[in-house]
Amino acid sequence: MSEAGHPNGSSPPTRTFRVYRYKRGDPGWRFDGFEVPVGGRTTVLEALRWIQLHRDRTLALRHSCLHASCGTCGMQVNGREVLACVTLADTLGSTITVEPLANIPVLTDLVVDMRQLFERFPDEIGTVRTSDALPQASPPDGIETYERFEDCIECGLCLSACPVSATSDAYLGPAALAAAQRLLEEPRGVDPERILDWAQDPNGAWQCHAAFECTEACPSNVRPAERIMALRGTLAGGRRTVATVMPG
Amino acid sequence: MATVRIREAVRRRSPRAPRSAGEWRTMTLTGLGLLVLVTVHMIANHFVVRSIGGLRDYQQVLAYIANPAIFTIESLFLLFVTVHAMLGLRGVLLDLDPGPRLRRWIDRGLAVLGLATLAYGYFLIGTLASRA
Amino acid sequence: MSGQELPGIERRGDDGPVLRKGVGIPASGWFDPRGRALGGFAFAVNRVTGLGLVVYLYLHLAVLSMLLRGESAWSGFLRLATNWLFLSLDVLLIFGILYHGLNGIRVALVGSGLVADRQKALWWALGVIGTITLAFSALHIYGSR
Repeated sequence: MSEAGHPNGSSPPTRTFRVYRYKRGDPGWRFDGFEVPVGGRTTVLEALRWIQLHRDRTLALRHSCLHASCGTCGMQVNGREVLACVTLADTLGSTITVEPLANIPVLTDLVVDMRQLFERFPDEIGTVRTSDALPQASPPDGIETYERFEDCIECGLCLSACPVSATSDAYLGPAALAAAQRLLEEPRGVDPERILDWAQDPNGAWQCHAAFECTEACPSNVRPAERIMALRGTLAGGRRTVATVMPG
Repeated sequence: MATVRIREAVRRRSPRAPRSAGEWRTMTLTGLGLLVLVTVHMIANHFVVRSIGGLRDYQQVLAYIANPAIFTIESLFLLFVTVHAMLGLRGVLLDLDPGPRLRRWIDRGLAVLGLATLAYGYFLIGTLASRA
Repeated sequence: MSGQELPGIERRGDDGPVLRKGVGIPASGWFDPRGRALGGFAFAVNRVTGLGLVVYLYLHLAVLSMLLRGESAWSGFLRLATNWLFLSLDVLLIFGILYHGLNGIRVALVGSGLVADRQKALWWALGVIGTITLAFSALHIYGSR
C-alpha cells in the first residue's frame, strides 16, 4: 500500500477514517476525516500509520509489537475495543471511527495515560516474576488445563469496555481485580489475606455488575469477568470481614 | 523484558465500605425470596379471579388481604421488595461515584424512603385487612 | 522504579479529556449499545427494569390507596384498568418482573462465582423460560377481555 497506488496503476479502494484528535491546549476534541487506501489485509494500525506518513504527521498513536502481544495499540474502533495491529480495516464498513480507549484520560490523539490502568493493580503484582515451573514440567495432579494470567498484556481494553468504569473512576476495574484473583490462584509468596482485603475495597469486586464486557473485549483470553466472579465467590464465602484499603 | 511502573499519588478511595459481601448476600436472599413472593402475588392478583385482567373488585380485595396466610405473604413481599429496591437504588447511585458527603445523604435518604415505604405499606395492608 | 520519570513523559497538572460511552450524561454510558455484547445488554436491561419496577412500586402504592377511599373509588379505577392500554401495561410489568427476576437468578449464580463461564447460555435458557411465561401471561390477560 503506498501513496502511489497499486502496481497496475489503478487507485486502491479507500475507506473514510474518522480519527479522534486532541492536543494539549486545544479547547476540545474533534474528529478529522481521512480517505485511506485499504486492501484486504490492511490493519487499522497500518491505516493510521499511512495517515501519519502521508496526510498528517502530527497524528499521535502508540504501537509496538504488531502482533497483539504487547497491548500497546489498544483503541476503540467503531465503538469496540480492539488491538489495532490485528484488526482488519476491510471488515469495518465504509466509514471507520477511531477513538482512544474510554475511561482513561487522553494525553493526545489516540494516546491515553496508561498509568491510570497500572495504578489500579494491587501492589503485590510484581514488576518481574520468574516462573517456578520448568518448561518440561507437567501440570499438577488433578489439573488438566490451566490458564496463565501472564496472558494479560495490560492493554486496557477491559477498562475501556467496562460499563461501571464509565461512571466511576474509583472502580478498581477488571484488569486489576483479575490480577488479584490470579495472585490467589498462584500466590508465590504473596499473603492471600492482603489480596482479599484489597479486593474488599468498596470500589473493588463488589462494584462489578457482571456485564462481562471485559471478557468480550479482552484480546488475550484472560477472562477477567470470570476471575472477578471467582474472587467474589471467595469473598462471599464469608472468610473475610470488610476491611478498609490503605492508601498505596 | 522489565516493565517499568510509575507509582503516582494516591488514588481517591472511599473511606468506608458502602459495598460488602453482606450487601450482596442481602440482595441475593431478598431476590430469591421475591422470586417466590412475586410469583404468588402476580398469580393471585392477575390469574385467579375470573375478570378482565384477573383484577379483584373492592370486596374481593378485602377478602383476599384478610386471609392470614395472604396477609403474611403480602407483608413479607412488601418487606423484601422494599429492601431489595432500596439496595438496588443504592447500587445504581453509588455507581455514579458520589463523594463521601453525598454518599451519606444517599444512605440517609434511602433509609428514610425505605422506612416510609414500609410504614405506609403496612398501614395500607392493616387498614384493608381490618375492613374485611 | 517507583516515582522515576521516563524521558519524554511530561508532568501535568491536569488530565486530558476522558472518553465515556454514552451521550455526555454519565449514566447513559450504562445503556450505550455501541460495541456491547450480550452481557452488557443484559446488564443494561436489568438496570432499566429494576428502575422501572422501583417506579412501579410507588405507582402501585398510590393506586392501592384508592382502596382506602372506598368501593366506588376502586371501581372507578378498575374501569380504567381494564382497557387495552392498561392491560398492555400489565403485560409490560410482567415482562419487567420476568426479565429482572430471571436475569437476577443468572446474576446471583454468576456473581457468586458459580457457572460464570456459562453466563451466556444461562441468559438464553432463562430467556426461553421467560418468553414462554410472558407469552402465556399475555394471552391470558388479553384473552380475559
